[in-house]
Amino acid sequence: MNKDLEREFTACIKEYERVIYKVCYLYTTKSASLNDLYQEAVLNIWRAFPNFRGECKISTWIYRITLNTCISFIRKEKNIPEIVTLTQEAEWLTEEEDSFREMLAELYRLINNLGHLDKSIILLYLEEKDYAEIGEITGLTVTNVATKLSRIKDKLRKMPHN
Amino acid sequence: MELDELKKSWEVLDNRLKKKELIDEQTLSNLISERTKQTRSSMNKILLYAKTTLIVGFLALIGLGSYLLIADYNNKEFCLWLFIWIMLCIGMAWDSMGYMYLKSIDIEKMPLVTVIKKMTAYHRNFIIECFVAAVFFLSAFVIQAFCIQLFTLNFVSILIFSIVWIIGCIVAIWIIKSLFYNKLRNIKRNLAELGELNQD
Repeated sequence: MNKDLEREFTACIKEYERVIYKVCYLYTTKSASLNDLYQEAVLNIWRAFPNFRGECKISTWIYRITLNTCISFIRKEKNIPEIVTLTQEAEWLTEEEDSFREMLAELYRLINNLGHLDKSIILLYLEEKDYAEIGEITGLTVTNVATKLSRIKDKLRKMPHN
Repeated sequence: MELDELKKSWEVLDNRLKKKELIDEQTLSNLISERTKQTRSSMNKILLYAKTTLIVGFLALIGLGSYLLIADYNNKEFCLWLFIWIMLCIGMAWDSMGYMYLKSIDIEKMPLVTVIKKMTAYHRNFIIECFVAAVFFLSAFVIQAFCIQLFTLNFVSILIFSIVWIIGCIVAIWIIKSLFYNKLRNIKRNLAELGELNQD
């Protein structure tokens, strides 16, 4: 039974690994590395996995847990041993051409000028989630989401381009 | 920058990621087995830290309380220890509330806005806690000055005491400012975004 659950979980993570990665990437800070956040998010999904009853789409559920994990992540210990090491990822990034890395840095810089809520909304928008799903994940009404997005667009427009 | 440009960049990132395997099954399996051995969640670590602080604080409270019961009221340093004991009581109550507060955050079920509100409040309270702790140490220093009747000492002793006190103040303010500047900026930003919701 446990093995079945593990297999199901592994398949689920494999399907949504890019989603988890992208969310964690945007919430990476000096005190919370990509590996830390990714590992924490995967662990929290695993912990909650047996309780998932399919009341919402699994993608909605994964976004919610991953975003909540990143927002509530506080590091108390300096040297937590890493189990998940996204080494391939770090390597491939250095292999990429400069223009791509610059574009990524600019994307990161712009989105990181926003606070937690706006950052989450813009991230979900970029992931092509509709207003209803963004509302379901964030706890906002559809009207709130629309107003917020329009405000974020204004904020982004005013940000200086590097 | 326009949102369309941002979207294009996002799509490029997404396409690149499609070609990569981010986590292999063996790593995932290791992570799960490690999880069954012990809980490694950062939130649980914080709760454990809070629990340990509470136990140590509680023991200190009993120890110091017992000492105060048998201590001589006329002792020069009695008021200092009494002050520390009162502050410890307040600190313990504050810590217990913080512990309960963190425990109430359910990242599985709570919508994002609720978690953001709670975490912003937690970070803000943490900074307040640090300011209060700094004030507490400075107050303890001042009380100690009265306990040892500093004003009756010679000029050099008063000067040394004052210099140490001023340096302590400057260092405390500098540490708080440099450590929490970014945190304070983020808190302000998060509160502004949450405030926009009330305007809508």
